[in-house]
Amino acid sequence: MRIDWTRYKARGCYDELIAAPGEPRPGATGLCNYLASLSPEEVKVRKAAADLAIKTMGITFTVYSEGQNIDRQWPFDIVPRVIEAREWRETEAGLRQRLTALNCFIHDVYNAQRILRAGVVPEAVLAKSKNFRPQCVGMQPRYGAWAHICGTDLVRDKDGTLYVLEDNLRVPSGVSYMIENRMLTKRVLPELFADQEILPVDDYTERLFEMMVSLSPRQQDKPEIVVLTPGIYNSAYFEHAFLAREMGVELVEGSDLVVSDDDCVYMRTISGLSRVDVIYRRIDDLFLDPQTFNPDSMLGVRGLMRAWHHGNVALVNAPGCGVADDKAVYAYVPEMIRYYLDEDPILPNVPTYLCMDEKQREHVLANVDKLVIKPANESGGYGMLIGPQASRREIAEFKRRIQADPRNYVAQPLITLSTVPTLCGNRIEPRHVDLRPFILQAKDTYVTAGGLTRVALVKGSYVVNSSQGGGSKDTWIVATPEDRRKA
Amino acid sequence: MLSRVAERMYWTGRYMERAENTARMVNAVTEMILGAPREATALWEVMVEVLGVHASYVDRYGVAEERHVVRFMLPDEHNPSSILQSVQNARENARTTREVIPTEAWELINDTYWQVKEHAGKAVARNHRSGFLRDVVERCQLLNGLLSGTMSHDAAYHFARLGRNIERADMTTRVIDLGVAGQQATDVQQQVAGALATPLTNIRWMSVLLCMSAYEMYHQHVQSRVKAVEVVKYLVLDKDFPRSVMHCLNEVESCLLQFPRHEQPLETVQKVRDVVRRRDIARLMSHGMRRQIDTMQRWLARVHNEVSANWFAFAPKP
Repeated sequence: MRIDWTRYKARGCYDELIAAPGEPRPGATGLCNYLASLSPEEVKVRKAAADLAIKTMGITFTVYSEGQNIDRQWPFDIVPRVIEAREWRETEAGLRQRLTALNCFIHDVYNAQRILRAGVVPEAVLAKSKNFRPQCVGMQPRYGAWAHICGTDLVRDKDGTLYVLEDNLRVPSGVSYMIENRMLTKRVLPELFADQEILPVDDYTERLFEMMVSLSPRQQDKPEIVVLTPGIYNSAYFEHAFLAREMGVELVEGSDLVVSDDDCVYMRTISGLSRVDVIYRRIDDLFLDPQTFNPDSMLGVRGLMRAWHHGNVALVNAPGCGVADDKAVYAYVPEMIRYYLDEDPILPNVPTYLCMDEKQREHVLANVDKLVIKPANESGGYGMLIGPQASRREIAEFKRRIQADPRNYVAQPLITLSTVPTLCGNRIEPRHVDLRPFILQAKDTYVTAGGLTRVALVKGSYVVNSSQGGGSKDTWIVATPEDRRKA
Repeated sequence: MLSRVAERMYWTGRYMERAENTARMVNAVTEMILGAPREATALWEVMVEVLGVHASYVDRYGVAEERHVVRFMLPDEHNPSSILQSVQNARENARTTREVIPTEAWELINDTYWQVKEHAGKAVARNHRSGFLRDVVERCQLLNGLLSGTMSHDAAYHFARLGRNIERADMTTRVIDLGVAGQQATDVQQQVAGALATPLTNIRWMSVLLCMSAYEMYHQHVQSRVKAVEVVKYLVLDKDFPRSVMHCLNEVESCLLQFPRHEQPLETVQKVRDVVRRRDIARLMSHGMRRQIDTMQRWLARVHNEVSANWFAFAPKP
């Protein structure tokens, strides 16, 4: 059976492509009409072509607990998600604004701490932050940029509002899949790129490279830039290799680097030691330097923090950024924007209850079954509780955890994530999605056109993480005819 | 370039070449026994012996028998020298050097792995075997062509080429060993049976040439019918045939010259080449060829060790 949009229903959610049965949204009309014109066999052929390309291109992600089988094919859905350029421009401005404020905050926290003294962010939030690094106090990275690369998760509620769900400021991943998804779609649905204006995403790596060049401590033509990976067993290794290859820089492991007596970083090469200027590190703070942090770390480089302190190497992102990547701090981002930039926030936060505040905690404890409870410092969707779907025992357990460590928990209302039509077997069905755009910031700020759309492939599920059964889609920022007339 | 990357490129080259030569050798034995079924068991046994995996084979399967030997050398996940394991090792090394090789080369290695994984088991049956082995050889040749034609001829390229040529020289000595040892094994049988040695011997050395893709080149450059001494001379000493030991050693030398601080390994490889060049093959063929082959393999291992110590394990004091 051909795809029939009049029979497609996303009950109780905002659907990104279909406004009402049979009515594609303006930006998605071309796509929906095209998909409906394909015979079921043709759809199958396209899907098979995508799977084959993924296998041949070796696009994988790694799952920890699978013994020898360390990589799995990337689960990709061929139906793209579409966002109109008009809406995106507003979102993009919001993302710039947000990261600018966050960088001001990180810089402030490790220096004058004005925002604490002004009482805008309570000292208690910081005093108990797991990711505050005393080793970073007094550091002044160039351009005041600490979080050079940020992946911000956006979700859309049923009324169509886009909310910021979280800011990933440590080592956000997923950008390579954004780029590969576009390459796949171009292979699988090439016809659609002929008569539509879909904003390109593949200039990301070039922007990333330029940004890192601008951070080099040695002012010379060709600074040495490297990507530091924990190695092949890391879940994002594919991405580390992808970015190094696209930028034409060395992909190094901790054992390839050495800090010498002159407090500079060198890599071991076949001709001897060679100086390194900028490190895009994909290793968490605590594993960076066994001399300063976790002494058992085999992944890091002894003396790396010393070299950074002396200004002899730039670390991207700077150590200590995680202080702002904390769900208790997140609740204050709108205040930060007002405080540092004197602007109103463009993108709203999801309303957040801080369990460290007694009154808010009481409200949370009384309503655990209606809320989403999140630990302040986890990522990857781990350690959270979706109240409306939880058992009584789980709820009791989380109440206990919140009371034991209130600083470490926040609660949010459950956002009914928007859906996108997704190929499920032979049928098209709505599946929930989120969106992770990537923002680069040093001297200038750059936002990807769209981002990585992650999709929960299980019916009704809200869990989009690839480690837990999520997949992804290409994301199109499309200029509608209306847009083009205005421009 | 990073020492670690150099090492992985080197092994990518070696493992792909090992897969190719293993395919060539299994193909050669398969051809040989088609003309001489009575020799089959002896030849399969000789093959696992010259490949240096006899002990682990016997541990696993006991007596050398065609189906088991071929299984051991093609899809066996426990034999580190099987085609599947060689290709998988090449893939693991290439995966961690993807940023220095062209996309197509990675895709080819990756795809070869999936192909081998899917088909190696079926190729144990004779009717699927030669097609499979031919495909493996062609894919490895395709990779050499892709690297030569699309990759910058930089240090990374030359490390892959170095690994390929050290492995190739080593495997060529093993193919010669297969011919020589096979001859001794069947001579004994034939004395018992009282048959004439000559026609079977010729068929065997023809199979050796064919499996090395050397049949036409041999006839063009050696003005002689297929004769054991001439074939061995050709495969050891000919400087133009790309799979001969001499040609591989020259290639190894030219790779080493591309790298910084190459004095020690270069001196060794030049010495090895001079010794090989002076060997009297005709005399050795009547006595001592197999021992001479062992010696050549040891020399190649020494070149490998020096390369490894000089560029891979290189860990300067901070």
